Amino acid sequence: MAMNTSFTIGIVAISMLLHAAYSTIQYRTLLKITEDEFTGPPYEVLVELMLVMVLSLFAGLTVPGNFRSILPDSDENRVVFVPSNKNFMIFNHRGMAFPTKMGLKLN
Amino acid sequence: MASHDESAKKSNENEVPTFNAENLQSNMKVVYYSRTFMSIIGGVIAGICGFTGLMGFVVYVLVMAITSVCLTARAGFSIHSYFDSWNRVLLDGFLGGLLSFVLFWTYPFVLDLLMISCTSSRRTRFGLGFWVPVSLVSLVTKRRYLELRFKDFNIL
Repeated sequence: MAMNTSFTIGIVAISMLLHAAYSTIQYRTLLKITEDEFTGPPYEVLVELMLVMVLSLFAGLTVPGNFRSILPDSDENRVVFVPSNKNFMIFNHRGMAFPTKMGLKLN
Repeated sequence: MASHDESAKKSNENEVPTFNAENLQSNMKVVYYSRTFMSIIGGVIAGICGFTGLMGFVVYVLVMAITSVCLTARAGFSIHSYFDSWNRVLLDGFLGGLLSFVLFWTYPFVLDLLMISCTSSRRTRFGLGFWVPVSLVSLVTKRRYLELRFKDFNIL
């Protein structure tokens, strides 16, 4: 769930960025018509860009995932090495409660 | 509890610093993705603000510095439980995003010139309001299909 909200925040940041780019381009075409020079985007676009920066920082750090601890003695790294050789696996099962009859023969 | 993690052992004479290499690698991937995403966003921002020349690279260094600070904050300022040295999180991918930054930095300037040619081009049956969502949805479904089809290949 947290992944999903960060992802949507990232999508929102990108769409705000595209919106800012679109409005700046429109502003520039307007400037070309009135033959002024382009000193910077309008103030609303600057505010929007700062919002984009904050949101994309949040999304860019949360979406890729959590940091995992690399110390071997931390709580989430309790690694137990078990030999995975099937011949040597021992299981405790209920059949052990029954006594085995030795000396059974197949006729 | 059987696990298939492997821990890399680097033994010096007196100290044996061991760490879980698989987790270190996943942490490095997180750092790399974050830096790439932020350099792309920073590139578009630099293009929108109209920075040219040296100012743009100053913006890049600024964005990367902010990303480094935020990454250290994310790691809780105790770097040593997530990485093996400070360099990895501060300096590792610093120049890696530079190419993406420059590419996306040019896009607002390019789009500014393209807009004029777009508005004077041929009218199709459907406008932007149709083609933009359709292309986005098609991209997302293609990605999901590839993820499902190749989910056992562990490419990502």
